[in-house]
Amino acid sequence: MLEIKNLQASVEDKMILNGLNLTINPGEVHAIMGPNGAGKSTLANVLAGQDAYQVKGGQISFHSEDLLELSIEERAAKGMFLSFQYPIEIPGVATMTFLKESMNAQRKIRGEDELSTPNFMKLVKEKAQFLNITPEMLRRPLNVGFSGGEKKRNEILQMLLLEPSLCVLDETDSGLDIDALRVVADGVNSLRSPKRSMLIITHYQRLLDYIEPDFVHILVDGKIIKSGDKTLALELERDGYKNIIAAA
Amino acid sequence: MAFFAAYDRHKDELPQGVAEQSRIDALNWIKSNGIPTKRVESYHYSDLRRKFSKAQNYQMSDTQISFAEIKSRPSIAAFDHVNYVPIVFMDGKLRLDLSDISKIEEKISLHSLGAMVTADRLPECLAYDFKSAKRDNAVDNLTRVMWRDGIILRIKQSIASDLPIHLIFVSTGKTDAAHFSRHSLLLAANSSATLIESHINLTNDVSFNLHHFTSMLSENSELTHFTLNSENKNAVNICRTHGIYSDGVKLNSISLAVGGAWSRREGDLICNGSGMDLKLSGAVLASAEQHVDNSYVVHHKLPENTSFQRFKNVVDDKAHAIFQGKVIVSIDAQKTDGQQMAQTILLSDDAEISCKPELEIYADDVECAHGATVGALDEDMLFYLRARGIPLKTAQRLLIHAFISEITDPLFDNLKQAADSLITKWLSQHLDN
Amino acid sequence: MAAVKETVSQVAEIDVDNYKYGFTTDIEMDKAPKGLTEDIVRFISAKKKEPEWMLEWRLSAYRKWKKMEEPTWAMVQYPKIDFEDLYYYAAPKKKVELDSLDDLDPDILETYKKLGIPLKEQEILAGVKGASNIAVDAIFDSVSVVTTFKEKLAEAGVIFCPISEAIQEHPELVKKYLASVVPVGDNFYSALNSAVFTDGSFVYIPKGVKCPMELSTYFRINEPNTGQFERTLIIAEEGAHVSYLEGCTAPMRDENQLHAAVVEIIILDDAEVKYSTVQNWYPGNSEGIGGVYNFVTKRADCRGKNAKVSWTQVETGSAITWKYPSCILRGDGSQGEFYSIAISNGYQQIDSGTKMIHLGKNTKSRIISKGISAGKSSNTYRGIVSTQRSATNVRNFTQCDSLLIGDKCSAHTIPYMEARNSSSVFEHEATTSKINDDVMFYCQQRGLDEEQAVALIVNGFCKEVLQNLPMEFAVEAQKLVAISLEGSVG
Repeated sequence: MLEIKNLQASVEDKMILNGLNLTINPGEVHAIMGPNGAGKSTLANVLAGQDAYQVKGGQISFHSEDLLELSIEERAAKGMFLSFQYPIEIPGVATMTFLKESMNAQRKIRGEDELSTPNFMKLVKEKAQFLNITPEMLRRPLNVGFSGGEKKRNEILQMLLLEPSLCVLDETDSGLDIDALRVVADGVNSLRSPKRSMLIITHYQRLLDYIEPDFVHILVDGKIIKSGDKTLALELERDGYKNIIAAA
Repeated sequence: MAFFAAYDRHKDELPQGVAEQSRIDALNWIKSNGIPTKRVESYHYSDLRRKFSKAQNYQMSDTQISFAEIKSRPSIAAFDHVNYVPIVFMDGKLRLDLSDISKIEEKISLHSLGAMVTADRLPECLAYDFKSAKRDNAVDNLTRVMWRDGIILRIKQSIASDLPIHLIFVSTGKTDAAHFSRHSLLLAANSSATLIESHINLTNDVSFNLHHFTSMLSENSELTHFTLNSENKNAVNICRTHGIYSDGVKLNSISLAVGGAWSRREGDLICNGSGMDLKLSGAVLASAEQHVDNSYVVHHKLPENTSFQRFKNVVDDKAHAIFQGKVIVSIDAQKTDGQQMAQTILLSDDAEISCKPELEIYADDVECAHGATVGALDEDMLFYLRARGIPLKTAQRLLIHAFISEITDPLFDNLKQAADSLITKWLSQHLDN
Repeated sequence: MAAVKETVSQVAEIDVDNYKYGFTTDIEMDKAPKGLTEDIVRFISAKKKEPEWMLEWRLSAYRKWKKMEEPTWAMVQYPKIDFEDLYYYAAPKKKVELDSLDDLDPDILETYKKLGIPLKEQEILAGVKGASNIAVDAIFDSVSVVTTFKEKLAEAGVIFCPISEAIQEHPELVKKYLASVVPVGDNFYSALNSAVFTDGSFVYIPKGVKCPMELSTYFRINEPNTGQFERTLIIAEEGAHVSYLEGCTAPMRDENQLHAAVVEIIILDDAEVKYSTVQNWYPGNSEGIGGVYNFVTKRADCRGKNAKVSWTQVETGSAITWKYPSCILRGDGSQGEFYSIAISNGYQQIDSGTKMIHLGKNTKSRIISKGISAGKSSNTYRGIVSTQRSATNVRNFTQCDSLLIGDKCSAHTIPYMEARNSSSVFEHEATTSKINDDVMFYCQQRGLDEEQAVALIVNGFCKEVLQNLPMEFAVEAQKLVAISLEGSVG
């Protein structure tokens, strides 16, 4: 589904990713862990197509297409979903309006019919309830005045509604208390399917207790220096980055 | 100057009587001061003389039209869901035949200024308008010389007028035609009213319209005033409001400019009381070579008033938007809260914004502030929306609409809907997929 | 805070009207007759032994000036100046040309001792070399009386001398750059200055040179009824760096003195100039009598790529100030900064601010202006930020804060913003308020008296600007803030 070959990327003329390789097959859940500044968020942003990150070399294929040739919205319509580390506040744009716009825009790009308003409302209500998102929250402008946890739950709500094929979760656990973490993890887990893949970017092992990965990769200085199964995360938690880096 | 010749040519058609002396006074003012050029600070970005030099034709038109036709114009049709009293002004003349004064509620009076002056039945409180000698504003004096008609709208004491009065200014289109009108809004103590003001043209001809509003709001009265400019791309439109406000007044003035070639809304709002809350806001959507100017002075003369000027501009193509706002706080106006905010999004590299938020403060115990920003659409917001699959143009439209709707949000539902539909229409015309 | 406390007690002992520098120096002067004619211009030029081209230049400036009118747009009010009732040339009679410090008139030396401003020039003038690492050019009325550290600077290739000397010694540089930033006819006062300027400082920093010390010019108006017209020209060649300081004082006099200076700065590729001013001309007495009219044109032209200019000003003096140190950001990537503290008390009137003219791509500007009005004064910030269509990716940040002390003063903010392309980002914030009562109460509860509390709060209010001054100036500026606000409370 996703194949990254020798990816090099920079931000503000500073090289961050230095030859990253990663292959994700349908149904797999991959976790990327790494110290601060390793390039975790850069990877997420490059996948989504943020202009501030320049790709300097390498290839990314997504569903056998050249991802780097696609616009931001085309990537989204093809099933790329980024759960933002810092979801942005957009004053004046109601959350419901935004959800409807994005669902229908993606359907339109894929040549599907727009959802009728009653069907859309029903769907949102159902998913929102699952994530403990109140109707009052949905009436507010997008992310404006949301707490950190509310913003993250709103990200997962969008993920549930848009049903992407690849979910990239960028530090989704940061700023969440245990209860919120469980709600978010339940949401994510409900989406696991043989056709859907996930890329979980995290600093801590904690999230992986709730969302069990098939593969764990350790990213240091813009390269994956070690890969393994879920036990690698535990190893990392026990030994720390320093020892793993030294051993690798 | 063409203007003086035009006055001589047309003065016999204009209502004179009590107005005669004031026309002469104003004419003399213009003779000695001239029509302002950009050398006059408050017209620095809007050279009135240059614009005005093209006004040639001061004749009334004889165009025949029905109210149904006016109502079917897209920008008037936008108000279809609003129940309003239509008052039609055509080429500077009140047209009762096209208006529906039967809908006017009791205890509200509406008269033609021309008719009142001709019949010498002018209410005493308006007599000042024709007597006061020192008048230093160009638009005031230009309209004083040449006005043909106007309305006198009075809301009596403690009357809450629920039905909005919709003043529809129609230019019928004879090239270079110039029309002048003067209006008075008198809200008695504890009364309230909603006024909608729309400016449209029937043709694409060049037209010049100058309107002057005197707005006298008595104790604890409340005025909501929504203005729409959706004139054609050759229309010149200049409106001034002279506001005189008493204790406890609440003003909510919201303007939306989506049309016109060259327009300027200016105002001098005088706080002659305390405890008022003045909100003055405007949204400008400008494209092509439009020139849209909002220039207001709020003069806090007495203590404990709040004023907030808030303007948002979206400027595309080679258009030029202007905001000149000024808060004057006199020495006695302690505890003034005077705020100004001007925000602009430039959509093209040829678009232009000139912004001058000014504070002139003579009292110390005040909280005054202004902010101004200029920039393009927020890149991070665009990215977020696009990452959810929303195409670029749609994302831009969504963000601009959100930006502008902060101005129109305070309107009551149906009116807000009308404003929204006009904004949506502008956006779909200028940012199509 | 120590400095402020000290200041407050110092000030308590100060003579009338709190003006520290209000003495006159009794020196024999060489003066031209009052009034301005072509003959006076010729007289000045002859006195300065100027070459023919300079005289011609002055005469053409004079003719331009004759046709111009005084600007009236500033928010300041004063009786019309009688330009025929002024002396346009005054110089200490003894020793116009100084060979060494020993030649300095002892009265002048005494003057510098009394000044005690940050330049520490008493020490320098007294011959305690090495006590300070600042080179000083002192301008007394119209004439430069002493320039120190010339030799040390010459080793680095830096030219720092009176402009009268530069006209003689470096005519090619003067011809090339004089009036290239502020054209003669730029405004009424720049034309007047061009016709009659008698001295000023000249600074030339060659390519790649980082000036080894701070350069400083110290201005003083002494003679009554004398206009002071200095001309400063600073040229920073490619990659050069210099920090320049300027201090101004004048004696207390009942009549108004006119000061109309022009400062031009030329900055080439990657060069950097920092220009700091502590302006403390006599502001007039508490009745509003006397004081300096300070009508100054200062402009920097960032001609090269990534050139940088930073203006920092502390304006506490003058009866009337009319001054807009500006930045022409012509070179791509160039940067302009304006940091200002303007304090008005008594009957002072200030109309000051800056212009940021963005002509180059990726140019940046930053404006931080702090106005403090007290007494019966009027304090106006006036500024323009503009971009041309071709200047893409321009950034500006402006913050203008005004503080009102007492209910008889006024504060005005008049910013102009003119953006002409979609890649420009301007941010402007301004506030006007009085000193928060709760903060005052808190300070007083902790034992500060009202005046100390005000000085403390005002210094905090200005902190962002004070931080930008060179250290030698910062301490003094902090004291000045307190002195200037003497008598503003209660």
